[in-house]
Amino acid sequence: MPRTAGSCCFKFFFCAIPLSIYLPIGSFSSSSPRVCRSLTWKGGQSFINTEGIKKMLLAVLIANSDGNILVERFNGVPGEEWLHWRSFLVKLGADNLKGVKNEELLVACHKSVYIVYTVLGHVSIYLVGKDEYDELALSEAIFVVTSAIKDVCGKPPTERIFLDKYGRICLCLDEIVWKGLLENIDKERRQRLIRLKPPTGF
Amino acid sequence: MADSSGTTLMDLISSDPTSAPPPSSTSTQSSTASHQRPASPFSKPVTATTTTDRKSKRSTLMQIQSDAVSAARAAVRIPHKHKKKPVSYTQLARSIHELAASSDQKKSQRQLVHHVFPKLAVYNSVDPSLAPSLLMLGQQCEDRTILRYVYYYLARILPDTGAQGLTPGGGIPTPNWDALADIDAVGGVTRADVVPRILDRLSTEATNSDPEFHARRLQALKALTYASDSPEILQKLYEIVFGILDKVADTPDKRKKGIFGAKGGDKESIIRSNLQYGAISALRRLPLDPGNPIFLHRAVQGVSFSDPVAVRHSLEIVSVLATKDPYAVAMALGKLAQPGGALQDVLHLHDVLARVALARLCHAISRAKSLDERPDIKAQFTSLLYQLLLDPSDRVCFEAILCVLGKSDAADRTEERALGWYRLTREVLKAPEAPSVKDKDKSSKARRPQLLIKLVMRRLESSFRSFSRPVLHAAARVVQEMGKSRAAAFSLGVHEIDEGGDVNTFSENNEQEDGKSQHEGNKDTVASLLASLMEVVRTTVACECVYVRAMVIKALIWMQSPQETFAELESMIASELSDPAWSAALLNDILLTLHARFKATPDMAVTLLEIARVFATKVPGKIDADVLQLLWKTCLVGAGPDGKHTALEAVTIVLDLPPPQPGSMSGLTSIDRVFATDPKSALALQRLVQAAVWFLGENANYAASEYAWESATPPGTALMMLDADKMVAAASSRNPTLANALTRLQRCAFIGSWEVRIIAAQALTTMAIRSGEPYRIQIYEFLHALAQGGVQSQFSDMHISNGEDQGASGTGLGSLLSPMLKVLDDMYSAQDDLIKDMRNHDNAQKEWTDDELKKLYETHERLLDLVSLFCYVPRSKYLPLGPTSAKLIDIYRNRHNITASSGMRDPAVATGISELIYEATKPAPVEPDNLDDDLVNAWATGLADDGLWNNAPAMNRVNEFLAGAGTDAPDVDDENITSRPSMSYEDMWAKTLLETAEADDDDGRSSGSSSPDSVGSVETSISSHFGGMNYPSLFSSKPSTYGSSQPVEKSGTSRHRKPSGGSNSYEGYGSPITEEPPPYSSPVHQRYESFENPLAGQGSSSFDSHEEERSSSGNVQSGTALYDFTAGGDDELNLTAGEEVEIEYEVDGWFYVKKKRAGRDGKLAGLVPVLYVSQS
Repeated sequence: MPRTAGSCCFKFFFCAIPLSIYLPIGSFSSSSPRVCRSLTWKGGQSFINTEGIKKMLLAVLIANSDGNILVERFNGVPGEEWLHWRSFLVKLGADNLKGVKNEELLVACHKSVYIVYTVLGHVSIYLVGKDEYDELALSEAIFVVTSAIKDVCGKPPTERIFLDKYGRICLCLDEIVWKGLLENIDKERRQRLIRLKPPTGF
Repeated sequence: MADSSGTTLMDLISSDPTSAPPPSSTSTQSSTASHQRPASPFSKPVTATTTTDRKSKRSTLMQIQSDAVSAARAAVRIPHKHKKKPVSYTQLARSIHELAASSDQKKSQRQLVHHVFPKLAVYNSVDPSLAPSLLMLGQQCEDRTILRYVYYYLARILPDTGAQGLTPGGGIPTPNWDALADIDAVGGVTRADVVPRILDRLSTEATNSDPEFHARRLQALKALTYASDSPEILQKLYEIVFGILDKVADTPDKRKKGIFGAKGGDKESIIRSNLQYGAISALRRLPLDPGNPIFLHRAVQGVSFSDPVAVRHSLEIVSVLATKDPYAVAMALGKLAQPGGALQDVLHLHDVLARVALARLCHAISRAKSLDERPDIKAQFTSLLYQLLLDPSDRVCFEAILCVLGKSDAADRTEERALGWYRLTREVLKAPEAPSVKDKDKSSKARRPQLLIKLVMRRLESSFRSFSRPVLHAAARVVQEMGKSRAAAFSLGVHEIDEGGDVNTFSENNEQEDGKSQHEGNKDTVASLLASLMEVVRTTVACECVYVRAMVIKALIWMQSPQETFAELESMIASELSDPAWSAALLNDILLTLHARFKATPDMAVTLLEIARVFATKVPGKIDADVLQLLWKTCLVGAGPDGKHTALEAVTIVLDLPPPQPGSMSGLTSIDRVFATDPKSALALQRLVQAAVWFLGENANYAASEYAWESATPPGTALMMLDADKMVAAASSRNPTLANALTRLQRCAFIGSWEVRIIAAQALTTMAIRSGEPYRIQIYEFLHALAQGGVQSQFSDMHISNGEDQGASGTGLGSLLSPMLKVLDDMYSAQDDLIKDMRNHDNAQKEWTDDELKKLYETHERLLDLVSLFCYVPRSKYLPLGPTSAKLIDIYRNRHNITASSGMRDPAVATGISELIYEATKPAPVEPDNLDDDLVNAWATGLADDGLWNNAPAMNRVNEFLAGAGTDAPDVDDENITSRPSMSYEDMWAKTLLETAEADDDDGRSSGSSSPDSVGSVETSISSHFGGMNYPSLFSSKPSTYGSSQPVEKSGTSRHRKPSGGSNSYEGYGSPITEEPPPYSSPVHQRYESFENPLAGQGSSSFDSHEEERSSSGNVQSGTALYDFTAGGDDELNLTAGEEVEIEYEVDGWFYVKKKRAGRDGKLAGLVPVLYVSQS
């Protein structure tokens, strides 16, 4: 989404971004997701062995209660597929997350890809995986993500708190998912690493 | 989004980022800093480069840095009007440049940590112009948090993600560097400039062996892996990783320290452990090198590392390697697998994924054929695998169950699956000897061997009681996999598969070794255990999550066996489908499961059809009509001779359904009531009915085994003499399947909608042409009456008016029916003539002369051409003049060396060359004499292996499903469908009438290209003929592929090959195709034909083939127009009766002709129907 904001005045910049970058649910098609084409692994991923790709944690996505995406991390998913996934996940959340308790896990699948999602405070968290990262592995992973967010924010976050701690959350995610594979699940270890300390201290 | 009280994502970036230092002073300072300090990020020498290189790199980077900073300085001179300013990306970038220069100040560090870096993270990519400042920070700054951010951003710059430079990042797209236009204008910083510097820096840091530096070393290594796309970096990464492992891997620590967070050990060993972790984690992100013993050695060493994450990654690497070379891995693991070894320790490791990897590793090794001579090793790994069945984590336990069941990532092998089921039902888990356990009394109970099946069933049952949806979903999935293995076991007839036997006897046999008995008095059979499990599974349908329910239904379908009654499953599906929450994708997934189930157990054809029927009636608007029709066909063939009638009935039940009753809720739970209350569903149902009618017409003869050309019991003349009612009765007793189909079609010809009536009439014609007597005469009579509109009164009782005006004839089919009747008339009159001639010859006792035979043969050919316009018939066998003509036709063919399949149109025949060729030199094509049901069945069951499947979207979908593919993104954008290959779902044994397909551009329609309506979408000009009906017709204004076998003639011998079992495959236009497939199994022909439709997606190619053909044959014939013809499309030509034309070539019942003079429309050449021109 190329934007030319350089010449814009700040005010314009302020107004323009939300319109284009946030993905309001209302703009999505209400039709059910359909299969359109095969996903072929491409775009710089050719070097990776098939096994590695197949077992990836394909996406981590965090959205606010209105369905605007706050954080997204795609792994091994071609860029042109991102929009499909965003729309699919946000719609899934809009349809099912109303009234769901904090951290109650919901599940979905699309072909052989699994999706586990939940709500935490005012944000909803979606994880997409395949093969090794099936619904149960994703449940483990989403538990790690939610605890990390809770640790950083001190409690189930409101959108405000989440955004206040945005940078730290990004660093946490970076330690949790590394190139599509779950990495550090231990809290203490994670906290050390985001402070640039070795995983195990002396 | 806007939370008035709180900070939103926008507020975050729009709030004042920094109380940034005064622009002028900062910029001056930074400028000074960057120029005066050679120690800025680039001062540290790179060990691997020469001094000259260093200098040049340093100067370049310094140049970049100073450019960026000066640009920033220029930019920040813009006076800010507002105190509280929103922050743009540009400002953030400037702040980084400025603060980097003053990073030694606490204030700057705070700004970076609390304001600039978090806000920058909001953008989903990092632009290269920030790299110099980031590198400078990395070089100069001591603050760990800043450094952590620096590594984070450097890692995000590194991946090459294409032109947009977008990496998966945050929620806001980076302004694509345009925001930094002013900076770029000066500096022109690109990825190509900075990436080598970043890589150099990270590589240097990753090889820094300073113990104090090792935390940064790990982060540098991690960041480097993001650049592993490039081969050079990959090489470097391998060197670094193996370099680290060479130093730290050979002295593994005992894991007992520090696993559960308990710290221990000296500093040196901790550093070593950290480096081990970093190296193995990086190695996990690099491509595997299966043949490399060092790679394997290091990975195996990792299993003993003290860091639990490193152990997990090692196990994952080793488990993948084990699938490629289990022997080498088993040998390398050696003692680790033995009791007390490192692998045993993994059982107690906290990390779930590590145990999952262990399960996979054990599975790969314990099933390896290459280790057959080492049963001891296999037993060790099998024992480990079975122990994982007791794992407290569902994830691990389920993985172990799947491994036991023989599921593999690659294509499942039936044998392995069957063996998996056998293992599960027969084998026992013996707890390993635990020498350390002193209390034998206590341990004796725990160590009692347990049957795997009982263990698994108990575990699954408890999982199904869970409240967690992922657990329910996963458990249902495991049951589904269990069903697959069970089906495989049954299909292979695995020895002792009897499920009625007491399972405890198996454990007793095993226990005898231990001298214990476990018999508890109650008889547990596999069947009873399964029944108990399935009871729990069924209750899970009550789950409110539709995805869980879908998985449960799939599991039930897989666990359904052909012998069991499926009424419960059917009603469950019926009530489920009434829930509007079901998405089309999910429904189609279940439909595909039916396909897979059929493939595993062809005996279930009828059962599955019955289930599929529910989909057709309940959710016609949501399912993929192509996939459903494919299921009909595969099941029809798979049902075998005995089940064909039932299979056809199951399909045609769709026709018996009353029209949907809007607003009526009474039928919600009934299977036989249509649930199509909304217009879209009603429309979809109508299309499905059309498809069913068409299917019936196409396949009734196959299902009934009734063919005009091989009627087993030719009807006596007496039968023909009966009056209509008696004849119908006689016919129905002779072949109830066909009679039944006829009745249904006749009914449809009256009571259906306009489109359905047309297809019914066409289907009846197809049946009339293909069936012998008395069916043909029966249909003829019916069509005749239909054309007159006189019979309708007879059907008035059953007629349910749909409110349409049915036209002057009462049915509105008059114009459509007359050509159909004409062809039947022609056939009957020609038969009469032949009988007359034969009688004359017999009476006069004279031989048939060659001219007479020629005339007869020409009539035969003409009728054959005519018939071929309506539907496919095997040219070599079909006798439009009746069975009596066979002998005479053969005589003429033999005399003139005419091959049956190519007939007169064979160029050799046309030019008379064939007369000169010795018969022996022309190999007679071997044709199957009879419809080989077995062959067809074999093809049907082995369809997935056939190349033909790849051509049709439905087949692709089924194949993809069967192969377990499916990482496709969910679609929210229908336009993507246009990229689908335009192909019909043509298959092996039946002629498809309507195979032209176009990219499906109609969102509301079913995506099926094989359903009749899909042709309608492209045949727009048909409407001019048939009052706007959107349906292909026999007489469409285009040279459609409808029912033509012409390409067989045109294609020439080069395209003809003998059919060779199920292995014939279609690979392309010019690929070998069967010359004479079994009757009704001519997809190859049709597939070719479908390509020949110039309107279809492949039109250009098809024309190419015509061109070739034309140039090769090169004989332009002349002809005369018999009737007036009005062009219905741009590519057609107006004709006036008597006009002389040159026939260029023929395509699907159309001649491409050239006039000698242009007509009033100015056109000289175009397509005209073959029937309108007589060849001279």
